[in-house]
Amino acid sequence: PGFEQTLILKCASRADVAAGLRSNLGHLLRCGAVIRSVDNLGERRLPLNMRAPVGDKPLIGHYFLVHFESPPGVKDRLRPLQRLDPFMIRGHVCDKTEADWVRPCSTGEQCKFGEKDKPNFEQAYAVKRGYRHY
Amino acid sequence: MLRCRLVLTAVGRGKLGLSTGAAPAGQTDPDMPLADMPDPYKKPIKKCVLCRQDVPLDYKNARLLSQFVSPYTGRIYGRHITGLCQPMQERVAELVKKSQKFGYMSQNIKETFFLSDPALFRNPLSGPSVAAPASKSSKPSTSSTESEKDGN
Repeated sequence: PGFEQTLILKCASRADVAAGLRSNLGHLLRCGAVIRSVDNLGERRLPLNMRAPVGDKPLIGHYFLVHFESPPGVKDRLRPLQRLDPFMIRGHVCDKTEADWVRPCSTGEQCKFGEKDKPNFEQAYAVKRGYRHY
Repeated sequence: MLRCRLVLTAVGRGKLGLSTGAAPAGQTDPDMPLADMPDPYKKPIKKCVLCRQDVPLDYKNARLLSQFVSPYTGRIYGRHITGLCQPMQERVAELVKKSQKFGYMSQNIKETFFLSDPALFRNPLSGPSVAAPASKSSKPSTSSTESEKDGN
């Protein structure tokens, strides 16, 4: 099945980013993946405090989106390889079946707007947690 | 025993819905009611913003998902504030959590460059006495959701 990985690499220099990308794509190939495409999403300031497995806490990351196909157990096989990678900050994998989500109202079901499937859900939840401060 | 043979005129055949033989197909008597007319009293189905505009949601589109998140605490607004239907609210919450995990969105704040995005709903911290400014109307605008479709 098809997967996509959001690879966040440390920004040091162009050569380092290239080396990081090469090593991480090598991990994928070692896990039996067939890489379809790699999209460069550019350098971005990291939105949250991310702890790199090796090295200092980074503030900027280079984002890549890798589309690949592999057998189902790729996440478990990839984890030990990513654990000691010096270039990577994050590299979560997501399967592409998420894109098959369909709105219930488009399949002919009655739209649930204005109707409460669980009428007392929000009241019950509010009682447990108290007033929610946004 | 009398046997009667029923003979229908063209007008009679038209009133019974049979072919008259004179008028072409599709043209009925204007005095007769239309059989396939839609119900004029049927109310239109109300849909939430995302369903009405058919907005595609993606965990990589942090800008669109940040519209449903508080700028102060980074928490996802409830359904009574966003005005979404229940399946869409659950889907938005699921994608916000995923986006935070993958590193596209923050968990505690909303990005400052998303603060000037048009509001899809009324801010919960402004009371009912505060008049909403003309630029930030509570009604969703088509252009805003379409511009957020492209995302980053």
